Amino acid sequence: MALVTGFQKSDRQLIDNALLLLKVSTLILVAGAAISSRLFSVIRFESIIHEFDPWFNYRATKYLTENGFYKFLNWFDDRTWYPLGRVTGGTLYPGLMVTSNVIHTVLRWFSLPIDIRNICVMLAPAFSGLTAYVTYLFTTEMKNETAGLLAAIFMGIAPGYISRSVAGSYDNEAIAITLLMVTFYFWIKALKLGSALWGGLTALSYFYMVAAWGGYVFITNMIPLHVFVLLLMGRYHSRIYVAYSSWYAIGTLASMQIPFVGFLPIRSSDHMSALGVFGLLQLVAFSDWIRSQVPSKQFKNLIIVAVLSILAISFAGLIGLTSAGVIAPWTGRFYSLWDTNYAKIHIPIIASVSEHQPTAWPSFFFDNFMLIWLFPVGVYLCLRELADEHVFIIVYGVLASYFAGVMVRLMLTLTPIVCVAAGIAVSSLLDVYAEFAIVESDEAVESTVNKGGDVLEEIDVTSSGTSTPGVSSEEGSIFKTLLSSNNTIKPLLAKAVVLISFTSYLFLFVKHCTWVTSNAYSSPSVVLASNLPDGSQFLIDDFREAYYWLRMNTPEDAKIMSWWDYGYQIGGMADRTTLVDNNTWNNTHIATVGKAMSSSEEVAYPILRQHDVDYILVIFGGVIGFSGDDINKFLWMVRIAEGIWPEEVKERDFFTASNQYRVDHEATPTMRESMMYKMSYYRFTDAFGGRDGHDRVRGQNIPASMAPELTTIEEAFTSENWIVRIYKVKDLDNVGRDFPKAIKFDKGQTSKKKRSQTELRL
Amino acid sequence: MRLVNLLQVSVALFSVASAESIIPKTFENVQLTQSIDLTGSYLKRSLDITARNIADEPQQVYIVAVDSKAFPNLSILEGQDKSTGRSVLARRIEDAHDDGVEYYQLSLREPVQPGEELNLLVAEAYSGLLSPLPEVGGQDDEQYLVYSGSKYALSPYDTLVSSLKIKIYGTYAEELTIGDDEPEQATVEGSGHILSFGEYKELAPLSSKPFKLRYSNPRPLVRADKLERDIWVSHWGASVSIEETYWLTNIGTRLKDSFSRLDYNKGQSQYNLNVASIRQLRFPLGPNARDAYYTDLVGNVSTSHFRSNGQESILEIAPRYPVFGGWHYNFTVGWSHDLSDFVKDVGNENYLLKIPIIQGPQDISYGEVDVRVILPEGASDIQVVSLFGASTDISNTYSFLDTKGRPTVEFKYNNLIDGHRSGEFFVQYTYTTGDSLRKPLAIALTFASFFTLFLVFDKIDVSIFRKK
Repeated sequence: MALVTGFQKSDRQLIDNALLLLKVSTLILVAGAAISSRLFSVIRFESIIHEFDPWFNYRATKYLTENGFYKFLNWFDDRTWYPLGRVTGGTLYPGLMVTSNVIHTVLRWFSLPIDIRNICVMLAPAFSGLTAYVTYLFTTEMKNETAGLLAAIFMGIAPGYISRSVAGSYDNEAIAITLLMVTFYFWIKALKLGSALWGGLTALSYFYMVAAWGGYVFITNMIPLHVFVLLLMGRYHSRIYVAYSSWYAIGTLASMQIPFVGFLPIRSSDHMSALGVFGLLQLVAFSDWIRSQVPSKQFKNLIIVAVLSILAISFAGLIGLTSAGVIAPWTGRFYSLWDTNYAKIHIPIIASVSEHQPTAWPSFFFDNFMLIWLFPVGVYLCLRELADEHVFIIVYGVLASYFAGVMVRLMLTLTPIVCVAAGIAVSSLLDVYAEFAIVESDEAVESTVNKGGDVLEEIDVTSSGTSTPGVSSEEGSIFKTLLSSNNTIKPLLAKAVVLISFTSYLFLFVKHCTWVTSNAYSSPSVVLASNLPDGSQFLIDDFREAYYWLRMNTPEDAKIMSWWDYGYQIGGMADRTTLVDNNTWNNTHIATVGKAMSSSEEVAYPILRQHDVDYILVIFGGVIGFSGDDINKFLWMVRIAEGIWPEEVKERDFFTASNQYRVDHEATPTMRESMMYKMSYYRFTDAFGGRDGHDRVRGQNIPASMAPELTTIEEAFTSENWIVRIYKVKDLDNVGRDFPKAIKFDKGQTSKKKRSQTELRL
Repeated sequence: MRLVNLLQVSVALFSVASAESIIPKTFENVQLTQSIDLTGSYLKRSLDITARNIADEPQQVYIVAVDSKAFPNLSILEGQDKSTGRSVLARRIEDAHDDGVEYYQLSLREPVQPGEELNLLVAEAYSGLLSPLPEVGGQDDEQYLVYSGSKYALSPYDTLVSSLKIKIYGTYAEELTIGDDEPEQATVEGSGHILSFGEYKELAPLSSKPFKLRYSNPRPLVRADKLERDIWVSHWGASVSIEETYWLTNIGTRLKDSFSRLDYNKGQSQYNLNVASIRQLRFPLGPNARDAYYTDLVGNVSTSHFRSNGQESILEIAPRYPVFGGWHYNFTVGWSHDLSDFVKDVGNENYLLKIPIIQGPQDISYGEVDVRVILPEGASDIQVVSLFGASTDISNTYSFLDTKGRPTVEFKYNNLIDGHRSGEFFVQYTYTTGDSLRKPLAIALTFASFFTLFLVFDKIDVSIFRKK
């Protein structure tokens, strides 16, 4: 304080300008760091779409750019889910594709013909830069600009967010996290100002979010919960009423414009809390008005009766409507949020996805590093402060922590609040320990400012002087006094120790984030990298090799059967019709594929014929040691098939008597007869010169004496490292023989010959 | 003697078309040697002609006949005066042809006096005339091709002595019987790679003797069904960037049944197995090429090597998978050259682009070839000289930060071979300093107007309540 008043007015303006410059350049650097740390995969590999789901999004985006918006909305895709097809236009969140398309169109307008693929690849990093900025705004609303800048830095490079937003990870989450933060920022603004304009903006960004990601339900429940908690705390205010009502009314109507969402906001249980709080808020507002009209004694009775009866009526109404089927009950995915075993028992298809597994504890640390222990500190500080907006952080923190513990992928929704809370915590710490102005003389501070020392310190020193709008200087001082009750006697040494240790923590944080991003989250998983003995990089490109072979050398209408994991990639890279894909909307169809894979050839062949399957694609890692192959996923196929045909497919049959899952000489007959086993190990032992083949993934030996033989299908293509194996389904025999007979005939072991042998013996 | 008799009989049997030619008999072929090169993926034929003027006047043109069945596949026909080594202009005679024969006219540089001899060399190439027999085969089977043609070189003139030489890459060759005709025993030279037939004497005009030769060819038959070649000329970047997209097919023996990686890996160590698959393509790009890349529809392909120096640049690419007979593969390659390598300043702000029609791999035949030359924005007065019967068309292409678009000259070729690498086309255009300043000015103006707009909007106060 003394610092600022000591200067002339022109000096102050100079400092303000310098501050602005510092702030802007810091934010630009943060955005730059956020973007560049996501480019590992582009530099190491190429500008390529990653993993599985992004391939569908990319394909849909291409469809949109080629056919226009209306055709896109009415898109019926007959090249997936053969023979059912998929009403793609009505069953996707178009936000991501539309965003890319708009960017593409704008760039075209400026005569920048940038390939749509590159836009798709770079979309996530670009939006992550934006997320860092919005996090800054959001945290500034919570505390001050120091906290904002810190939170922006954390958000920019936190691995928990990077995991879903590296270049090439063209998924809904890429833009959804940005929108989540934008919506929350607008919401806090609207709540603080009681402004219908900000409420409307909240609704607009909410609409964008609904268009972009199924996770919008998180906002749909988060904001009502915030309001509900505020009401319980007795903090009703007309600002809340205005903000919530404008958001809910506009946001709900807008969200219903998305074809995939439609009438869900008024018919599904997931959305009922928002509606309920909306009703409750009307009642509270009404009672608030009555209270101002009637004496308080009568009012008390009135309110008790009214609240009870309305609660009873609305609850009964909810139950009645649910049982009548007007309101859809909770979905399975929702139940699995409360009971982690629910999916495993009831919906194996959800449980089979690795990102739906419960989170292991180390991954919290892995994804957030030191932020994970700063997070509770930040929440605690908010608890001490407890303005309306701080309640939001607390509610968000508690909810997101729970969800992140239940499902790995929901770590993503936790990360923003962790960064915000950590930003608040670190800035509070710096407020106290980096505040040299109080212990030292004014001249000393002047000299540090003029020298242009540490960016953080400098902003911090002055931000206590310049009060930001929305955060009163008293609030800032409360944060300060929390930790520095007797800062005058605190020795300089203590400050130095704390600052140095925290600086090193920050260094470690950056190092950890870079390391995690580089090692864990930057693999496209379409191309695999391995190192040769001399240290040079060697690319394993089997997936694209096989997909490209399919694309070039099979009829354009060929139907490919594979496990659903590869459906989107086949659609995107091989451009061929698939039976099932990652959309997983039809469990029975997936179970059919699972049954075909886990049954013997005699059972599978009619299924293949009925579904017009031309080629079967399996992933086999036994030669090169690629562990994510189909044999390792095989049990899920069996389980999902068993869910539909418990009589015909039994998981137990695939385990040995000692309850082991084996592929070697101990493998069960069912296992050895299954299509998947046969297709994986067909001619595998031949590669070992007729000796037992060694499976490098499972570390088991495949006996050469029991090498599988195929009768109804034949090998069509195997990629360089055997990772992808493609089989062609044989057509029916020309002269009506069954396949084993035909093969025997081709090999010359006819029954006639046998007879002549017996004759000879006679 | 018996041979001569047999020859006469066969002439009578097969020389159906050997009636009278509409071409006047101004010449008489003293010696006509037909050499057929079957080592590549398409057919190369050359005629070594020694002819005497038997007319009364000096002759300016010599006529070459081409079988009209093979004519659609004729990719190139060039003449050369053997005594001087200079090339002779060859042109098709559109309005004169006999039954089953098309004619080309070679315009001699100097007239041949009556009684004098002429020594000519005619080189022809045909794509798609070689067919595999059997058409389908296993992965490890050897590839056999069949050439069908005539043992006598077709000519509208009388021929005194004719002979045939065939060169093959493998060592197996066998003449297939046609009708009752006994296969003729060929003389084998060059450790089995060269077969000689003949000599045949006293042949009437247009006489022919069909024969079929089946021979082994352990190399893939590479054909680009389509090639799109874009040449981007940039004066600002001082570069000529080339991007080529190939639609490739192996037109050799079709692979029966399936492809086995196991057998393929085993065969890679042996010389003669699965050899007829396309495993590598080599692009000689001339000196000083740079920035080469190799992609296909699903992204970058990592299996390529590029080396470049002042003498030559070689781009070696391997397809994602070995391309067996009947399989397809398409891909895109691109590279850049310095502007000065291909564009000459001819003064007065006029520039001349002189660039090969194709720069692709060796031993390949092409179906449709579209070459587009994208000139810098603002280029005008475009003049085009093209060879080999291309149709040209001028359009406009919009690319990075264009306001007016770039003039684009499109050449459409058909049925080319890698021999056309030596052929070039010329595009002359005017490109002024003003044209070159258009783009920076446009960018500067756009930014300036943005800043101005921002300034204006920044001054406008849109708030409902006046701020204090």
